[in-house]
This record gives sequence, structure tokens and C-alpha cells, in this order.
Amino acid sequence: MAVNAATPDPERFAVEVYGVRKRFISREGLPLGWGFGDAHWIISSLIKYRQERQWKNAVDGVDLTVRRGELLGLLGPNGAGKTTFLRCLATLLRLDEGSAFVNGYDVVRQPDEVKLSMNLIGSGQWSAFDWGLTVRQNLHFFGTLYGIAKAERNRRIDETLEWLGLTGRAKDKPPTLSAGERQKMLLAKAFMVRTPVFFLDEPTVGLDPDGAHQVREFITRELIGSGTSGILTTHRMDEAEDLCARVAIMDHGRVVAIGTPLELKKTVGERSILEIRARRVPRDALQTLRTLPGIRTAVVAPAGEEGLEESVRLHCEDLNGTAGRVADSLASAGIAVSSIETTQPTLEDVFIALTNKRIAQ
Amino acid sequence: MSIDQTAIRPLTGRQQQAAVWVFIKRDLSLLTRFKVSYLTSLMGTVQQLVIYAMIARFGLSLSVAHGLTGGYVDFVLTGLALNTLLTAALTGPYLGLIESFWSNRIEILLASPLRLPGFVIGLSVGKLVDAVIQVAVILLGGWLFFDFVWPDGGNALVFLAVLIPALAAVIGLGLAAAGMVYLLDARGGQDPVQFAVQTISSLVAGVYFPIQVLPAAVQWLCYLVPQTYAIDGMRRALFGAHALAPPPLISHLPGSPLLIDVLVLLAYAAAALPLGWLVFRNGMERARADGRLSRWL
Repeated sequence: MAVNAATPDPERFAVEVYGVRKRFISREGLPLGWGFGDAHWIISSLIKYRQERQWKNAVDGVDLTVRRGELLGLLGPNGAGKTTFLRCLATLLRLDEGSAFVNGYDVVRQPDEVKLSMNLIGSGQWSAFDWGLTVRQNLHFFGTLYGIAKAERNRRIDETLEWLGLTGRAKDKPPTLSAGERQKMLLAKAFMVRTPVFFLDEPTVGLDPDGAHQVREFITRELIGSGTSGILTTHRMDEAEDLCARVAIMDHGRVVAIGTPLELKKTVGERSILEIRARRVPRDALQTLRTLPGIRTAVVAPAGEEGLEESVRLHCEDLNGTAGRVADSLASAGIAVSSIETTQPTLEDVFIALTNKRIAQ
Repeated sequence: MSIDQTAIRPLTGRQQQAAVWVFIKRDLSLLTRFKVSYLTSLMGTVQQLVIYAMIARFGLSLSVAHGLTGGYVDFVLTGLALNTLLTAALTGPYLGLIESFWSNRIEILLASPLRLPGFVIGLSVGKLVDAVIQVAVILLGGWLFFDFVWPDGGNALVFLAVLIPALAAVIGLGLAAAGMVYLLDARGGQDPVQFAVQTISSLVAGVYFPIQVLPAAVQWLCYLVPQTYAIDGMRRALFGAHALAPPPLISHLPGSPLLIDVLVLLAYAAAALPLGWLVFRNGMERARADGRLSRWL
């Protein structure tokens, strides 16, 4: 393992990452449908040991820092490497290359100190709670693992449950909680412990808008408000923009851009996006749009009131005359357009400009 | 809420102990959550006890054939009780690890400040506590209903001299078995180390019948597992050093069979515990490297 000789600066940075790489072996099994029936799995598992190993870079040379008191957003589509990256920082995965420091401690050489310094709140981790124990008993269990004395533990549990609006559910067991309440329980576990650094891995995934709003409100009030540092991964642009002072965009294991949301949007150009709203834009029409002069790319997303319309975002090199050409092209394809207008770039547009694809694909 | 940004403090020994204790409390709470199921499982232990007590009444004259001063009940209940405890020590780390793997609890536990020894003790200790309850049921039931002779001449120090190295040796094998979860991808509920040790110990370690009744060709197998020495030593510790005929190989060695049992167990523990730990730690490191530590990775 090659680890560079970076020296941490914990006074300034809560997290420092230099050239971190994590790769996994992938081996293809037998293609499904070869007619082996249940024996497929046996044959496949026997054969996979004979196949050539193929390495896939899940995290591919990431460099970034998180300043003290900063919540850095890590934005990227599924499979971009966000969760793998956080698990490297949380010592759950071993780095293949590079070095990383959490709260000034080396994740390779000082894993015990790193674990005392951080809390990982992973998506779906609520399943790790004991479903036979109550919310309160579960929190006691984790509080004890972090060495919190009983009286203090009781006080913090009461306090955290109250903040999260879960006081009334303290004696209930996790299976009786809603998805939002389970996610809050996970937050309660983390915030009860109060480590200097937090890693929030898609904390609002699977929540309804109200539940997601409550979780975001809690993060804003209790985490950002207290000056704690951390990384929040998400594929929701609004979430990254609302909660994070700076955002890093990740794709295929690499950080392709990092900066404040405003800085990132400026890289796209302030008035370079045309948004078309139409009931449906066939894929061949979209392909035609991409070939028009002055258009860099065209990406479609379901949008509009009640999801009845599609929204096509055109990234343009030059808006002069482009709207007219687009309208003509769509009209000749027989597509009824509700509106064509220039619009401000979003973080999604930044991602599209960098990768030619949408985050939510 | 103001989160303290000051330097972190490592957990003290007392805090680590509290963490292990909270695992025991949690496991007991979960174990007795479904009371009917738990009582039914204890009835299974009673059922086993009744079967062997009846076999004893049916007329197995082991005391005559193999120099046992007590009857078959004393012989088999001691074997059953110790085997129950040693089986829990053997299977505890493996079962605890795969339970935490499939429940996804492993990730949240390993990201906590709990160190690896605390983690594996925490996962296994509940199973040992459960085994202790079963042992109590076996011995109490035997004493109340089947004339199990509660040992009065047994020496507590000798008892511990057998039990502690026996547990250490078997826990070492159990750690190696848990390492197989990742080293051999044995996540499906069984692994080769556990299987081999359990198969040998249940058939030839002298739990249910003296080793001498086995065909000579398979008797040598009994010397491979620590359970043989533990069960033989325990019977001697409880019922007197010369209460039964020693296993064939031991009978040919000079010195007291009990002392030989204890020495072999100590040597076994000294080798198995560090080796088992090495295998377990390597398994965990391998999983960290190739990303198979938790089911979602």
C-alpha cells in the first residue's frame, strides 16, 4: 500500500484526504439464462474462482479537505463511490493508496482514534438496531459502546429524543416506527454521542418530503449550528445546496469539481441553459436537438406539475438563435411545447456539464 | 447543542468492560423476549437429559466396565454439561459474526470505538451465558430427578484448572472458525473448522460414551480436539482423579491422567488462542481490503 507522507493540519481541517484510491475485484459469473436452473449458482460460483480478476476503481484518487465547522456536500449519482469513500474514512474499508486523516488522525495507522472522532450515519443503517429492544434500550446500548456514563447517557437520550420529536416513541420497538422515525433514531444514536466529525450518508433517502425536511432541519440546527464538521453525501441537489457551504461532485470514483454552489454554477455559465417543457419529448427528437449548432448536450427529466410534463435541459454554447432553432426542430417533429425559456444553472446542470449525464439516472 | 471539538479520549478498561456487559444484557433481553420459545428451547435440554437418564436406567453398567465410581448419569451429565459450554465457546464467535453480518449490525459496531477484542467478545458472550443457563438446567434436573451425584469431593481449583484452559483452547478454535467467514467466504451458517471440531468432539471426545468403546481405528481422532482432555479432566476434577479409566493413550503416559489433561489443555490454549486470533484478525482485514465486511458493502 502506498501512503504518501502528508502531514495533517487538524487545527484547520476536520478531514484531509490525499490521493485516496479504493478498488475492488469484480468477477463476472455465468450469464443468467443458460438453462442450468438452480445449478446455475453452483456452476457460477465454481467458475468465478477460475476467472481473471478485474479491478474496478470505486474511489479513484480523491483529494479533498473539510474545514473545521464545515459540512461538505458530496454529490453524485448512485455508484459514484460516495459511500465507499465514507467507509474508507470510517475505517470500514482499507485504503489501497493515498492517505486520509479524520480529526487529525490517520485512518490507516490510528483507526481507534478515528473511530472515537467520527460518527457514520449510513443509509439503511437503521436495520442494525435490535428490533427486540426499545428505542431507548437501543440508544443505551450504543451510548455504552461510546463510553458514556449512565446518568449522562440518560440525560443525552432524553435530550436527543426531544429534539427529534421521538420522546413519545422511546418505549416502542423499531419495527413499529415509520421510515422517517427510524432514520431519526439513527440520527439520535449519532448525535447522542457527539463526535467532532460526522459522516452522513444520504440521511434523507427513502423519506417522504416532510420526514426529509425534519431531518434536514435537525442537521441544520444541531450539526451546522454547533459548528461541527462533516461530509454529507446525497444525490439531491436541493439538499446539498441547502445544507452545505461547499459541494464536491463525484463521478466514477473521482471528484470532478469542488467549490461553493455558486462557484460551481458559474463554471456552467449564467445564461447558458434552455429549459423546454413538453408533454413528451421522444428520444429521437432529443438526439436531433443534440446535433443542432450551439448545443452541447440535452438531458431529459420528468418534471412539471404532477409529473405530467417532461423537462429538457439544453446546455448551450451560444444562446443566440438557439431557442428559435430548437422550437423549429420540435415543431417539425410534431411536439407540442409548453414553454422554452432560459434558466439559471443548478448543481445538476454542473454535473451534466461535467459528465454529460444526470445525477438521478 | 454544542458539540465538544476538543481532543478525543480513548475508552478506559472500565468502559470497555461496560460495553461487554451491555452486550450480555442485550442478549439476555433478546433471548427471553419470546418467553414461550425460550422455555421450549430449555425443554429441549431437559429432553436430552431425560433420554440419557433413561439409557442409564436401562442398564448400562459402565461403572463396572470402565472403572467409573458413579453411574452413567454422572458420566453423561458431566459430559453433556461441559460439551454444551464448550460448544457455545466454539460456535459463539462464528455465530455472533454472521448474525451481525446479516443484520448489518457489523458496520455500526465496527465504526464504534469498540476494539476488535471487545467486538468479538461482545458478539459471543451472550451465547456463553445462554449455555451456562442450559448447564444449570442439566445439572439441576439431573440432581432433582435422576440421582445425579453432586460432587462433594471435587476441588474448585482443579475444576478451574481444567475449565479455564479448556475454554481458552476452544475459544481459539472458535475464533479461527469466525475467521473463515471472510477467509473462505463461509457466511452461510457453517464453516470447516467448526464442522470438523464439532463432528470429532461429539463422536469421539467421550461426551456420551467412553473413548474405549470406539473402534481402535478411530480412537486417535479424539486426541485432536481439546474437548477430549477437557471432559476427561472435568470428570476427574469432579469425581476424583481415579474415578474412571483414562483414555487409552493417556493411560500409557507416566503421571496422573488429570495432570496430563491440564497440561495438554494449557498447551492447546497457548497455541490455539493466539493462532485463532491471528486467523480471525486476518479474516477481518481481508474483508476490509476487499469490501466484504458488511452485506451492503
